[in-house]
Amino acid sequence: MLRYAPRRSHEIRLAFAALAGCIGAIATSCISPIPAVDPQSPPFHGRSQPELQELELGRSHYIAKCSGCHSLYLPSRGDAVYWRGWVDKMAERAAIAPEERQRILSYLGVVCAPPVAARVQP
Amino acid sequence: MSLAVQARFGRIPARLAARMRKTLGSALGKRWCALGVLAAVLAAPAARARADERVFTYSYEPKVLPKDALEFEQWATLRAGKEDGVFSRWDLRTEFEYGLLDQLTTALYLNFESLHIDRDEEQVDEFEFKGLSSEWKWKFLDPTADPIGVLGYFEATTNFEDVELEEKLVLGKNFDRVVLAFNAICEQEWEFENEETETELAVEFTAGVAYRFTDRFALGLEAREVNVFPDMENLEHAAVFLGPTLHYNTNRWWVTLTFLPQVAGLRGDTQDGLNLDEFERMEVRLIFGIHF
Repeated sequence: MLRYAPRRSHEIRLAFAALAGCIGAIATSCISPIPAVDPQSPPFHGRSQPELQELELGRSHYIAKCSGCHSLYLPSRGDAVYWRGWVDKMAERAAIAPEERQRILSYLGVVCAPPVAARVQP
Repeated sequence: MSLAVQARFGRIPARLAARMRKTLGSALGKRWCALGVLAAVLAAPAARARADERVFTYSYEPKVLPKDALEFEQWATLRAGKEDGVFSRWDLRTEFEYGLLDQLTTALYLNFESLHIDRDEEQVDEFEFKGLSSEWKWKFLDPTADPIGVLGYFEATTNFEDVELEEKLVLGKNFDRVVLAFNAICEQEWEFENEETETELAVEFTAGVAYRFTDRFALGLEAREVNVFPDMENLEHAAVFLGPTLHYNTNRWWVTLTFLPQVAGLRGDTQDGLNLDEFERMEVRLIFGIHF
């Protein structure tokens, strides 16, 4: 009967600690894939302060309402038509109020992929 | 294993492998029927409920429900295999979860246990209600939008004879199709008896990595390291579990299955390098969610 395996125990705990450290290190080195509302960046440049505030609220609603039931999808996944379809479909399930829905669509409309027709075809 | 089960059954002798199939067959048929009926009855009133998807079954991801959203889930965990004899224990949990705020979610669990033990001097085959749990989760940071997802978790469980408290720090990160999660867990248990109160402390770490091959299907690996401190004093039992996890979701339902065999006994009596005194040879957990 082996009563105690201190070395192996220590190594395995170190492995868990290292994994946690890796998650932290990788995560802190990356930029958010959900674009922040930055007045200097192209999609938001030249917009009024009230408009920027609405877009910021839209981003917050998008993160809060759409990350609970599933992992958050990147806005670049589709164009404005694609997002309108999905947000309308999910609004009731995620208990999204009409004003929140409108703000989410406004934000996604600014940061989403360009319309299919506008994309450069190969 | 809980203090109650340990005290009642202690170390279990005799003929594990040869009788495992028989055990599973006899115990599970009746239990699954009861579980199915229970799930159907409990799910019926949750007309607007929506279940969130979980890629892992032992590790939580830093996610909470949106405000006013409802969720229903059914859990089933099998723990099987002791040093000797036939041992299988099913933990069944029925969960209703509600988003109080966009960052705060609470949940109520109904807990049931099915236990089957077959040894020379004792046969046990029982199914009982194991009390209620109240769960609270607060999301501080999102695993996709923020550099790292952070969530605080608290759970209290009682069956009116003992009390368990559980606290978790949940970290996670989503990189497009890759999902990472890490949980640090502390669990305290008090079992109140006539003359004295038995206590136990468990410190646990879980981690998971998964890849979403498609929008519907994910495959991953989960690990769990558990340390048990009877009487909240010295570390007496520790073991590591490691195994695959499989997730599938549709627009209406989702299911996640994890197979977690014990791969190393780190502390306590061991057999073939495993601690089968305090822990089991393998665990299997299935979580099933339905969207309404």
